[in-house]
Amino acid sequence: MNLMLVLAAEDAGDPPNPVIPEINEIVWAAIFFIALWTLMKYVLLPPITRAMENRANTIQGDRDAADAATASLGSTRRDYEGSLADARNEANEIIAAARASADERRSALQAEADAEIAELRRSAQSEIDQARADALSGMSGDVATLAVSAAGAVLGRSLDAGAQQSVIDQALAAE
Amino acid sequence: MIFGAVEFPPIENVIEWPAFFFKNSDYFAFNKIALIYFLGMAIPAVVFLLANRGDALVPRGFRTAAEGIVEFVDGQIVQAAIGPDGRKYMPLLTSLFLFIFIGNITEVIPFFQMPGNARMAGPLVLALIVYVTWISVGIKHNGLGYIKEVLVPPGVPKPLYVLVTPIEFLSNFLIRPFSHAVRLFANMLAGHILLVTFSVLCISVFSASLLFIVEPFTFAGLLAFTAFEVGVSLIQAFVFTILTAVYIGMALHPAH
Repeated sequence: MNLMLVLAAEDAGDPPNPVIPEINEIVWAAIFFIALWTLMKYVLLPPITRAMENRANTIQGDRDAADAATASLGSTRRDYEGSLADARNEANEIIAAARASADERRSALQAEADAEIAELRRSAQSEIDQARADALSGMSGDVATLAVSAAGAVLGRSLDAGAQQSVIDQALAAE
Repeated sequence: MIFGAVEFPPIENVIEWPAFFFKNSDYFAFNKIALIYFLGMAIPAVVFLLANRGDALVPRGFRTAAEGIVEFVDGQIVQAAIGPDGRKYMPLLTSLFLFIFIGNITEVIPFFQMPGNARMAGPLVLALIVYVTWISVGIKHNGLGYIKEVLVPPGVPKPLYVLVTPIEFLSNFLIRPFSHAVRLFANMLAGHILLVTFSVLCISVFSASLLFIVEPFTFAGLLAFTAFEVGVSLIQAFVFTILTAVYIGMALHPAH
């Protein structure tokens, strides 16, 4: 029944009042809205909100894992770079030590070689000197004989080689 | 009703809807308005049921639509008007928004072409449910002192309570539910009458040879107001729902 008729606030000839609600429409509006509200509360909305929360948590979890992986990557990279720097320092130290050792060895070998060369040189010089002395001493007899012969030929008489030996020795020594 | 050459339909066409079912029942006569209210329940229910069957991790189709609605109600209404405490009122607010929006949008849908909320019954029922809800929330969270908090707001000079208390009582407990309902009802009824007016004008000038030259303007006006009413349907659903959230928020935290 129309509430308008129940309330009967107006004359029969007046147009109906659109503000006055119909009782049957009130009933159906209440039934359908309360049904929707109940369904929404217990059946329709919880799975949607739960799925949205789960997705948000999953995304957040993945994001956190990605952040952790990024942080771990940074740490690993720092460790790697530290190890690389240590290795580089160690290699430089080894190279420097090897270089120093090589320099030292080279100096030692150089000194040994110089000493050996000096020794060889001294030895050679003494041999030269000895050979020279030997040559001079071997040559002095022949030179004396030759000089006495030549002098005898010039003078036209035979000279005594033994008597002239001292003069020849003095001349050779002067050379 | 005739104005000049234009004949407007009588107001009874907006008010008196014949029943399809239970024709002889005073309380359960099922007419077009009841059908619109039924769709206001059935369409969200079907959409959300289909949404719940979709892939929860990668939303598509109905799930996208349902999640979009939930995110909109949560972000633009619950968080804006109540805050994180308001999540438990999501079912009420989502139901209100969808029920009202569908009750409004039938205004521009062929065959219906009548907003269910242009009848006072729907807005009145919803406003009364909201009225009972926010008073219950206020008493549940603040005890009976909530009524005193509303009627005797702190910080007012004592002599002024003679004026303030009756005003607060009238505005909060009598006018608020009435204005809540009438705002929706009046907007939708006015929009419906506007569309009817332009439709009647279109038909009238189409049949009147001399006035045919104004047909494009009236038709353009009808199209423009139809688009406008789509926006009004959405805005009124939003306004009613956010006002509900504001009332609940004020009941939860009356000191604010």
